[in-house]
Amino acid sequence: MVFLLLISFTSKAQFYLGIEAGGNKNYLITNNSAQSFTTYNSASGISIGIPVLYQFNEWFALQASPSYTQKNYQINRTGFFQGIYQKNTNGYIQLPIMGNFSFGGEQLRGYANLGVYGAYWLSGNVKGTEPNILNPNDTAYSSSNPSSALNENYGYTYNEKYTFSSIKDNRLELGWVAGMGISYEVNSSYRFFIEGKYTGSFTDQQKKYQTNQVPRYNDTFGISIGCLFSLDNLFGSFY
Amino acid sequence: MIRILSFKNKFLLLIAFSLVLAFSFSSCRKDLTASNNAQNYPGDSYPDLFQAFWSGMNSNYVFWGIDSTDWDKMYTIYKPLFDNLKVFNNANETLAEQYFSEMTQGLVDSHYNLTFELTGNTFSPSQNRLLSIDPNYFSDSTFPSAVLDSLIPNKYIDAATLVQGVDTITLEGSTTPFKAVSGTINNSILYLYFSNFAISQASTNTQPVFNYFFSMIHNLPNYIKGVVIDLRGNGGGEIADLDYLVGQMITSQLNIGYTRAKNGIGRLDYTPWAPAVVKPWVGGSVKITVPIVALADHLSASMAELTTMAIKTLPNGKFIGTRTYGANGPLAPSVYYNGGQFTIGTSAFGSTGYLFTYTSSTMFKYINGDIYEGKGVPPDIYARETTAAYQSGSDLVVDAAINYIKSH
Repeated sequence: MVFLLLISFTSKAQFYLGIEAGGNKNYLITNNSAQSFTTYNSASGISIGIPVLYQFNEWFALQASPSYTQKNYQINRTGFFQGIYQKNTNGYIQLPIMGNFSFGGEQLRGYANLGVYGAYWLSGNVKGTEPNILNPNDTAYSSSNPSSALNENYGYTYNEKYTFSSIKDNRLELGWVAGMGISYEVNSSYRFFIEGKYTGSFTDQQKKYQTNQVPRYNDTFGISIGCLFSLDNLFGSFY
Repeated sequence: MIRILSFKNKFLLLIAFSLVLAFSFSSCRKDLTASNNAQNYPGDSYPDLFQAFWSGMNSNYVFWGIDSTDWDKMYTIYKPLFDNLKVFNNANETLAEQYFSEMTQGLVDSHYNLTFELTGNTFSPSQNRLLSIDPNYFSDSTFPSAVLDSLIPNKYIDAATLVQGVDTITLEGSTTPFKAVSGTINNSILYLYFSNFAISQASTNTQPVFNYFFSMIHNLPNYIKGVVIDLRGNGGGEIADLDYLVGQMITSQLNIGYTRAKNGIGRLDYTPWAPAVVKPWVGGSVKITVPIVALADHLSASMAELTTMAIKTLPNGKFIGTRTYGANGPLAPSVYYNGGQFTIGTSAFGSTGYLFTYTSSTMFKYINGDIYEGKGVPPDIYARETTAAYQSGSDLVVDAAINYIKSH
């Protein structure tokens, strides 16, 4: 009913196909209060997508934006353990499906997106430094007491592909998406846009594999720029 | 006829719809239940102690990836049992200790030990397991004391070269005798025995033993055709001794395996595998090219096993003896690796707490990918001392080492 109230079909319906790219900052929402001197921090990532938009009328469109999106985060140890960290780089194939509500003039318009998304956790990489318990600093206490854990044991620095666990890792993610942007229609064939977008998962990044499990959710804030091309004006109507 | 909304009303409806949608989807998320450190639970009741112990094990135990114990099932079975222990008294304490022991009896960590501070009782899953297989596991050995006291110094070590001594050292807060023996065998083999990995604490009586051994190593005479490091009965100790001992016999870094630690509060959150290395000793080292033989047995544990594996890894190294104990995971205070040992109930019971859980901070796997935790390191050449052989004046394991060195 809400959908019918919002939509009025006109002869201005058009298909758009585009390209967009941008950066984001992801937060892994969880609770690690049981760990000492350990924080979970946000990390930056990239996003590249191919938006597809069907413009019903001058103010409403339906948009799907398949993309490769990184949802990264970093674990940092603090205090005496400073220098010990791990950055998790996680690549997702993501498909948001959104209502696109626009307003403004003929060329310069503002818009808001709202919808849901599904994503597949495609790849992971872990990069960091951990204290190596079987590589002690044999002179750690020779002249003064060590000032950090990495003075007691040499750090092992790694940068490797993440090995998925079929028991732990939930590779399918669902969530909701909201965004706002500005578009500039150069001519009837294409328009540029810049937008800010938020995606928030409501599925746990982990499968339910243990009792009293603390969940993990991705909150991602991104900015992207792109261009949309009117397929009708470029190739003629085909529907 | 469908009434077309004005732009303003559409926008307001959109905002309202967005808020409803946002609220709906955000309520799909489960509560981020606070994960409390096991050591912070007050411990004022048996149910609270159970929660502390179960949670601490859930996040700190490093072997969940290979352990067959169903920890969730333990929660389901034992939570109601602990809930029924309403007060602290002797009868309930006996039951509680029984329950904690039952929960952990199948754990693979062979360092694992529970110390119940109220009674002083302890429980070790590995000892429990080994004794159930062989009730004589810990007594069925004529090594180290008998063999060391009567055979090796008197019948094997060349009298003119014998250096031995006993000091008292401290390991993990407890004092213990520290014995060391060195010398040559048949004027062709350099021999070293020591009872624990606490070489940094060698003093008046034992320091001369190590001085002799390492002076021989650094200036190895041509007549020495092999080196024997006797680790039988050695229960382990300080990690730093690995570089000090083996590191003086190599001139390039030796990779002997890998370790991984916990990297999150989830049961299966692990760091990547870090290479376990032996480095040439910072105070100087030489490359020993004659055979180096490690002797170890079913009582060789922890650092004794890591040292045995280090020697096995050398191109000129060999392990002669019997399968070792199987306690390979190095240990450190839990704050270092967000895993390993922890104490519960300090708020209610004081600084020593109610229960101290001693468990590895990291898991070790050998260079070939094998994990010997709970299984023991297999020998390259099997040899086992027997009472009969001892009584006839022979150490069959040392004999095997002598024969091996003669033939190589």
